[in-house]
Amino acid sequence: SVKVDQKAYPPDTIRLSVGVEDAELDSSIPITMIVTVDMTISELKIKIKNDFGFHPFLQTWVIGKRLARDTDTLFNHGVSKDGDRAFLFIKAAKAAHLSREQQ
Amino acid sequence: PSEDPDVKRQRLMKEEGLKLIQLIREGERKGVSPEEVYTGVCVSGDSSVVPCDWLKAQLPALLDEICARAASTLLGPRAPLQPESSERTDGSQEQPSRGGVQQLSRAEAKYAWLTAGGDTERAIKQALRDRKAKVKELSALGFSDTARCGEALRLSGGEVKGALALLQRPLLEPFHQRMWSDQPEPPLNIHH
Repeated sequence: SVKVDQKAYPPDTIRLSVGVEDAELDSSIPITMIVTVDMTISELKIKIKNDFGFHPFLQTWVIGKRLARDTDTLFNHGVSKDGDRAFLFIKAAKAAHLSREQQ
Repeated sequence: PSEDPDVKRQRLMKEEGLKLIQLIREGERKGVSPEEVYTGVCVSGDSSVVPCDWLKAQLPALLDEICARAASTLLGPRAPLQPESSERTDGSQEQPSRGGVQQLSRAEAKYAWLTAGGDTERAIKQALRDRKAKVKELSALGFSDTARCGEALRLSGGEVKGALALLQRPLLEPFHQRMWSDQPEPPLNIHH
């Protein structure tokens, strides 16, 4: 079996600064998320869904100059320390072809 | 002035992220998805070009090229779908794709292009792989004519559900005809 080298990731949680955005607003609403750097973007999406109710389909994550894919981890994008920053863009439900029933 | 490397890293993370967010925001206003914007940025590689403009000007032709090259792979003499050594070890018979239109839709090409991160070569391979898997799925549902499956998929933009509806529509055609037939309506029984 494959054993993941735990040393590859710092074990502790970090505070990730997340700027929440949408097309309407011209500036970010800052929030802080307590995360581990081995979390995947999918897991972040689920956490946001549970905490704030935004469907994963509506979430677009940007870290640095890259658009993060669901299978990426925060670590893949160089997130390692308190205060590192990511952006969460919330798409309009209409743009994402999501109906209220699907929420 | 020497900036602390960690402070600099976090500053860049913020600035670059915001730059991309700005483009995504603009994209949404124009009905362009974040994935398209981002792939546009990666492919155009030119920060002076607005991704939305690039997508509008260049993407349709690029998608048509992907469709055309995928089709020539499917129909061409060196089609990889049919191995040269015709001995199939599993003994099954694969329907040859020749004779039918195995044309991809732009929607399928676009999906593959986005999945491949804007790499045309990879997009073509991806599109072919996706199409083959969908034809197989339809074939497992009893539609063994690969040419018809391919055409239905093209018309449905690569949606298996849509293709399935198209393929099954002729099965229910007789019901439509009977529905509009001139038989008199059954009399109403007011005592029930």
